[in-house]
Amino acid sequence: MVRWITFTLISLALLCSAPSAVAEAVRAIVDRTHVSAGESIHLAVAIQGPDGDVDTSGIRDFKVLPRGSGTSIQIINGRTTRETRHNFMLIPLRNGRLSIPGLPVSIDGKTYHTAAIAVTVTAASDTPQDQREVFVQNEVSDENPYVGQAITYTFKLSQAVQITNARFQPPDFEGFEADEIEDQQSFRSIISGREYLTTKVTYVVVPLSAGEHTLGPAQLQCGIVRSNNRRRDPLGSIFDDSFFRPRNVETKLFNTEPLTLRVRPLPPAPDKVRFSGLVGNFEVSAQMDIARLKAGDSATLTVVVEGIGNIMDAQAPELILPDTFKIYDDNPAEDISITPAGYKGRKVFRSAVVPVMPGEFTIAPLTLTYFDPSKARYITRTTQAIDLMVAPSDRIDGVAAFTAPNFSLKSGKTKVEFTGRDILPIKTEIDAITTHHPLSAPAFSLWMVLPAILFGGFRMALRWGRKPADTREVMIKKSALSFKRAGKPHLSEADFVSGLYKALAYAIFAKAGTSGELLTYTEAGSLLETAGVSTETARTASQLLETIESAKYSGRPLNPEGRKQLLADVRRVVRRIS
Amino acid sequence: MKHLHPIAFMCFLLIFIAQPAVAEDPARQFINGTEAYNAGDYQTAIELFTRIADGGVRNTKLYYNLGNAHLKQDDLGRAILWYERARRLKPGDPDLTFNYEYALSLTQDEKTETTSPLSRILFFWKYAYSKQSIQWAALVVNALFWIVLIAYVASGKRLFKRLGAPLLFLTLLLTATAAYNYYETARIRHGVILPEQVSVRSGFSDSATELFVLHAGTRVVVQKQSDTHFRVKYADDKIGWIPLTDIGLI
Repeated sequence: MVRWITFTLISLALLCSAPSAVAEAVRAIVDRTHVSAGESIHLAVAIQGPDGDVDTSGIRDFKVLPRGSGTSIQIINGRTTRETRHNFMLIPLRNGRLSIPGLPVSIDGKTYHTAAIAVTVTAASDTPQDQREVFVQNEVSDENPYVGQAITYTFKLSQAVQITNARFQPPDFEGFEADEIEDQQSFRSIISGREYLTTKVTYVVVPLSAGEHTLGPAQLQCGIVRSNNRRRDPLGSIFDDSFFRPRNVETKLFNTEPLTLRVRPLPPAPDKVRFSGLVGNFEVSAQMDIARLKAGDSATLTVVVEGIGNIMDAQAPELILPDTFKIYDDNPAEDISITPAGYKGRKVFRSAVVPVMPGEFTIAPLTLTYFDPSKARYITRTTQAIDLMVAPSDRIDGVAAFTAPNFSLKSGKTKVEFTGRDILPIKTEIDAITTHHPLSAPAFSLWMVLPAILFGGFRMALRWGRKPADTREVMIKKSALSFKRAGKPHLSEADFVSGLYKALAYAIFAKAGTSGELLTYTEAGSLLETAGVSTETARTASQLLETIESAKYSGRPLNPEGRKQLLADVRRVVRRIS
Repeated sequence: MKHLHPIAFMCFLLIFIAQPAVAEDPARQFINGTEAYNAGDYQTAIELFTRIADGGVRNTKLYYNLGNAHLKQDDLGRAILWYERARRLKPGDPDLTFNYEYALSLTQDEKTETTSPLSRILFFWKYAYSKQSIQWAALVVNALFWIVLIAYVASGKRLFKRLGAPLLFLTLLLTATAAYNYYETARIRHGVILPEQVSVRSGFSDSATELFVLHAGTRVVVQKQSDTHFRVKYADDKIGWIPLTDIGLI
């Protein structure tokens, strides 16, 4: 019985000790438990035996950056132990007593937990500034700005050591319009005898509404480069150079203090003052490109608003002109840059001014009222009055007839929009029950071929219905064609003579009512006489044919005058016998 | 056998006498359908119009009415299906276009183009004009070409010869387009999603991976058909299987 009790107690003791043994297999280790704000902690989760998955999602007080893992194997007295370490960089997100909770580790489907670790984080400002290697600051140019007043927000990073992989997260500018000034400034300064490199990042910030607004903390994450403390090579080897020495990078996170701004509303504008909406310091000028012009001609009025402040919101000052002027506004041109003093630049408004009546006119001074935050009051700037001499127009007798439409006026027409949505009604025509027969592919093909068939039929009908050509007409046509060819300029001697011969021969055949290509001059005379041509004409024709033949076969060159004469003779004879 | 003769006779008699009483006149059905629609009884209107359509009537107005009735019945998928069928017969009908556009505005899925933008530019006339318009244009231009040819043969005037060349080019272009349209109509099938929402899956079974979801009224290209499913293409990168019952073929 005692044996049983002893066995049971030993078994229970072993069972109870088992979880602690497992707990020892998974451990969380940190390099330190007291840090200043911005400093990082190295956390290692060591797993003995088979590797597992570490879940760090429960860590809320720190930013967790994984730093890889490593495995080591030890053999002691023939017993092999394996340990895997998962490394993390933890950056505290706030000051005070923070906690790294027990981290769940999954090993072969089972979950184990590490022990929770408490970490105390003290404020960085507790450390004297001159003792810090790296520190950040922020400031605004005015903590009580007016609505619409451009102020600057500056983030300053001061470093006494080398840093790397710097990542800057600007504050959330909610309630403000913010633009970064692209030129970052860097300068060296001495603080308590220690040299710092300071980098400034500046934003131009414009509050959009009155009230208390907080600019949240800006954040900078960077790695501080630290030299490895390895013993230097006494021989001064080239490998002792910093290039070859391994470097440690310590990742740190720096937060600036949040800034609270009390944005003041603009005071009410004085009565009868047309406030332009501009806040800052501005000037306005106006000028006309010509002082004398004719009715119907146009002059260009240029109004320039320039200064520092919300210049991009500037509108053209109100221009009051007599009814005898038409005005056509051009798109304003602007040249605005972001400077440390805020938005700076100019906006140019150009208008084409067209007088429609002659006379002497004065364009009233233009006024611009803006709010100057440095003086805390509204200021009105005024331009000079502009005199304009308008002469009668040369183009139109009655200048008043010039009635150019004022395109700036709205037509009064509005786009018609749906006021309700529904479908159109059904169709009640009874033909809805008859089937539509779309043109089928065979029917389409048939309709396509049909005109071709008709064309074929037409050609056949034409061929069958054509009368045989009249010999005389054919010969006349050939004669005319040959004569036309012979009359062409720059024709060779042989072609010219041959053309004339054919023209005359075809004409003789036509008169005789026969067809042929060649004939002698004696045949020509007898053919013509047989056909009833007078003896004299027949003889003239046969003589001309003989002349052409002799020219054709003798090879004697013809001068231009001779050619012209021969051409005229053939034309005359052909006409006589036709 | 002798006893069968009177029975058979009675059966024939019943069939022939009963037939006119049961089969309602399509005109009467149509009138009843329009009356039901106007009275707000859209379900009856759908049944009557569908009966006429099932009887083989292919008519734009009938299909349009069916689209309207389904739309009033909040059946967007079938409404667009019937409007699409009507548009095939008469794409230029203004009432149809208005209601079709309205129905399309109620669909959830973004309309996708299955043809490339380049081909839409190169063959703009194919997409700018309806199939019927292309057919008739081809017929008219073809007829004009042959008339001009006849005039040339008869008169020999060069003017007709000059006119003939561009007409021949137009004829060939439009005829080729019309021929392709016929091919497209015969070979490429389109469908419309009928249920409010349907899962397009990688296979036939309900356990197959859901690739994407389509909603009522969305037009798809039907690529293949199995015993139970259609393979549909919604966009170039979106292809999958849908049960036969979830798609209406245009």
